[in-house]
Amino acid sequence: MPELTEEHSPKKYYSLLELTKSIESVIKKTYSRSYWIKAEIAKLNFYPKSGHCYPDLVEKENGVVLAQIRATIWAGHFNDISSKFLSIAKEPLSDGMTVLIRTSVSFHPVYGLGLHISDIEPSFTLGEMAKEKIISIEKLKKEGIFNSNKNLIPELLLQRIAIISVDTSKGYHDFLQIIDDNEWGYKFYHMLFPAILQGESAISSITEQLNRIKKAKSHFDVVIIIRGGGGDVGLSSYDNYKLAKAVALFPLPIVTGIGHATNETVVELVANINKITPTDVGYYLIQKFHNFSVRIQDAQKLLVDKSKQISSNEKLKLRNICSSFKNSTDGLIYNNRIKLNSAVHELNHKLKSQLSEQDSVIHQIGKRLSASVKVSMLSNSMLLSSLSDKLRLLEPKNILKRGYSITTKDGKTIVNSSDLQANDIVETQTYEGSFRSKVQSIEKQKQILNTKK
Amino acid sequence: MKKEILYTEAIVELEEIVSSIENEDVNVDELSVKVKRAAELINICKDKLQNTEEEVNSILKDING
Repeated sequence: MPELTEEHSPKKYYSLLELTKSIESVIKKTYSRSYWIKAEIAKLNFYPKSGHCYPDLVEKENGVVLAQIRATIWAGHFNDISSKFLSIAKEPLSDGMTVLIRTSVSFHPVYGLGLHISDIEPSFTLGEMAKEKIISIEKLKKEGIFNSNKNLIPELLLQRIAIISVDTSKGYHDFLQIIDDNEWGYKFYHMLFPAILQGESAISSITEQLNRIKKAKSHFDVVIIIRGGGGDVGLSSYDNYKLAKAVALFPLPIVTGIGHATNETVVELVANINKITPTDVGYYLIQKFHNFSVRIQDAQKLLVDKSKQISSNEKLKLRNICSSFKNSTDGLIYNNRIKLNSAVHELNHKLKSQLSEQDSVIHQIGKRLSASVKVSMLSNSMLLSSLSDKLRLLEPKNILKRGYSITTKDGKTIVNSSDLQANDIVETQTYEGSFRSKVQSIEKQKQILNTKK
Repeated sequence: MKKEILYTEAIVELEEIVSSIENEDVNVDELSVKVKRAAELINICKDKLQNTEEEVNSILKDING
């Protein structure tokens, strides 16, 4: 096709095919060979059915797309390219990867502009990934958060576990078997937060689950990220800065068991503990229980031993006190008994002397008493004899002797003539002898009786 | 969370009691009280090993809330 020239009148035109064919020939001439190009795979667009792959290639700066073009890897090439890539880079070709591609530029009237990829250099991507890893580590260190999760002090008992894994993963099931069927009866609580564990999408998927767990962090003691059976492939996302930062800044300790044997990824480096495999993570948690249990057992044993010792010591002390108490009380009792005895003795003595003193006093009093009684008796007997003299003078015999007599009637002494009647028989007693007489008459009024002999 | 602090505190308290008994700065009056408390703590700790009472519903509420 000849070069297109601009014609004004009459209007000359070309068909679309003529135009596109022209473009095709220009491009073919200009880009006659293949070139090595560095680009990022924005989207891989692999179609397993046909085996063809149509990657969207981009170049970005600070997240802004500066260039973009569609590419093609035909099925015939793709098999070789992807398997070589996987074996060297340990990663499948995937979205977000920076690659060095060998490509030719093509233009097709129907399909337009595109790149035909004939080869991809895996070592370049490997270098890029290593670079990313180094950059991630440097950034985290610079921000001072590289050791943030590492420095968290885990609970003594990591009992409530948030698991980031895949339900279908072998590693997940191995892990559950270890912690759920442990022979010591240790009880774990665990909840699965399912996530994609490899490739580019692992970054957002794991980060998202970490955010969910963060909301419920009070319910968990530890977060574990486990992945099993995947081999060493698809781990470059664990070197990603964003994911590593999310792990580093996570408020709960994170234990990783991502399952590989080569270099540790950044996520594993910043995690609180990296146990490599899910089963090791399981044993680690069981071991924490053991440690706790051993502490309790030790405490229990010490407690029993020491308590026994203390009480036997106290018993001994008490026994010593008892025996020294007995000794000292015995002494005390003995001393007091002696004191008491001497006191009793003294008391006796004092009492006796007091008694004899009192005795002599009483004796004195007795003496004085008998003396005064004698005096009083003497005066009384003198009084008595004078009285008896007086009495003798008063005796009737003595009165009768002087001529007086006593007249009685029926034994009754007559002192009043009115007690008599004429013809009464009366008896008169004289000093010597008596006589009976008969009353002739009675003269009253102070007249002395006229009596007959 | 009161519960989860409890076993950490429990074992710390337990070991404090044990060491105070070990150093024999416990008199006989306190001994039985301390031993009783220690037995309680041992039970709490042992129980903790064998049981967990996490409630799924409250976790889900927190995650989705």
